[in-house]
Amino acid sequence: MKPVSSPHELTPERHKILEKAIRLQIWTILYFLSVVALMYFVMGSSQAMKTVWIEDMLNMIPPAVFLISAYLRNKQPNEHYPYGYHRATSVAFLIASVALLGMGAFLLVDALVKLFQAEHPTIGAVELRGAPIWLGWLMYPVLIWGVVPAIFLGRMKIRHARELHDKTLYADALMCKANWLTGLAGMVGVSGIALGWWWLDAVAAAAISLDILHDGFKYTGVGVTDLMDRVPRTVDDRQCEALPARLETELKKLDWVKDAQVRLREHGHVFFGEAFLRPVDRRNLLARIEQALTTAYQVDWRLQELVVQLVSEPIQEVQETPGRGTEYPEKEEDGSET
Amino acid sequence: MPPVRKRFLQPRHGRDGVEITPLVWVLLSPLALVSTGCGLPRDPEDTLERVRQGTVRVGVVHNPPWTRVKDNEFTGVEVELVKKLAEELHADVQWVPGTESQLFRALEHFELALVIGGVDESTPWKGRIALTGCYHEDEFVIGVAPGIAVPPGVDGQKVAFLSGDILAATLIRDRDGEPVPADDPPSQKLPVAAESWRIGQWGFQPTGIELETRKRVLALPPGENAWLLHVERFLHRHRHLVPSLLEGQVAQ
Repeated sequence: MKPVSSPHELTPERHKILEKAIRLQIWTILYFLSVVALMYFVMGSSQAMKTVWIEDMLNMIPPAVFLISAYLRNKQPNEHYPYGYHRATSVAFLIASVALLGMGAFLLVDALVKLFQAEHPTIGAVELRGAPIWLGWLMYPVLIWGVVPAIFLGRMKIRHARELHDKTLYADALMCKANWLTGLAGMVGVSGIALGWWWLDAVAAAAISLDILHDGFKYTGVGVTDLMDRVPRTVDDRQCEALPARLETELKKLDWVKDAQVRLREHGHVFFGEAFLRPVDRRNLLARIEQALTTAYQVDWRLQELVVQLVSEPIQEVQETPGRGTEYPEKEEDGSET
Repeated sequence: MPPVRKRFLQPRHGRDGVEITPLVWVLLSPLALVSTGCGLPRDPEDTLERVRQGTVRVGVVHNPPWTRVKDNEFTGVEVELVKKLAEELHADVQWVPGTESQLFRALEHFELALVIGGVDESTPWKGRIALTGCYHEDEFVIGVAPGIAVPPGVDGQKVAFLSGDILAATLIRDRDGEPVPADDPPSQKLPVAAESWRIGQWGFQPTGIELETRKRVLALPPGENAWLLHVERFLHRHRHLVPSLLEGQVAQ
């Protein structure tokens, strides 16, 4: 057992993908900065536009979190942080999700107050090439600029997220892709103002804030369960990772192993965990354990560190709990440290 | 039904759970309405329509030279502008004199179509009513009578201001000057802080020291976007008249 885990290294191909993803995230931040700046000038007093504006600002958080984690993943584990800094991503992810939750709630209340106070949104004129034009018309191109590139960025990022097993990147890609709904709702709000239906603006704003709130709830859940060492799940959070089961299968294939169980936990994009092995034959165990580890590390690049524990008793199966979407029973070992 | 059409109508499930449902088509309907409709934007409370049909009710706060209320006679730069606006719309004007807080409250509840009286862009009522863009920038500057030395700045200087203009004293004090009340026109041999048109009227020289720019706007009911756009277009066409109107009013 190593007291300090080894530094994490990506394969050259994955390193290239990571570099691409980093470049993509820098572009995303620059792009959203341009959207936020443009929107500030055409916002008027439309509540829907204000909500879209704040959502676009929030959209910059996941790329920022990703860039921070990309920096931290190169930081070596040390005396004070023996497991490395991988968890920093999970912490940042949770903080960002809570921010999303708070902002969504605030915007929802803001929109509802405006609705009940029957506040009529005012949109004036701006001078464009020497002639006054209604500011509302300028909101459409800006909203379209806030939607179309985001969809393409999201599509590109979702691929990288799967390849890199990066939840922050995945959440970010989904938010980018879902941005078209926000943009559409913004346009509906502005159209409402144009048609003289003042209430549609506040209703559209409420709908957008509900969407933000929904994202906040979802990702806060993901963030909390990550930090609670829930059984690892695939990057899209649809099902459990197959990796523990695959490791068990590989380890059981070894001729000296009678039974094997593996439990893993996620640290950002990598896995730490323990393997409980029940040997049939007690000779030459040290070399055999090393051989078992070599086998295990070859199964998946994301396996950062596996600790082997030998047990003499038969391994007890844990009862399956009716957890959400658990496709296989979580296994645990109650064996003593002997 | 041809297969393409069928696929279009059924909810489609994207890979990541994004659905295109009938709800989205309902959402799209306001967009469709906007793309076909002309005469947009419209007023939620139909102010422009009502003005076109007869009368424009205008609240007037006494604030010369922008507005002057005397014995139910209404004059001033903004009164002249409103008369022109009403003439273009073939509407009669009903003048309603009052205080700013009275008139703005009535405006907030759509009882008036306009409030005039040298309203400043920075009015605290900003969020509750609609304001047009600035149609005239009123520069508050330091001027000197002929033969008086131009001061390098306000700092440590005695500066005269019209005794009725309380804000002017604050502006001078903010720049570490010493405000001295004066009559109209000022008789002391001191630099004077006043609007640039007053400095010109007295035959004083501007010093190039500017204390503040007051952006003049008109106040409209909130969210009446068609009416607002109409007034903005009117002001854009006629704002070049403001300096000469101002001269005429000051001369009175």
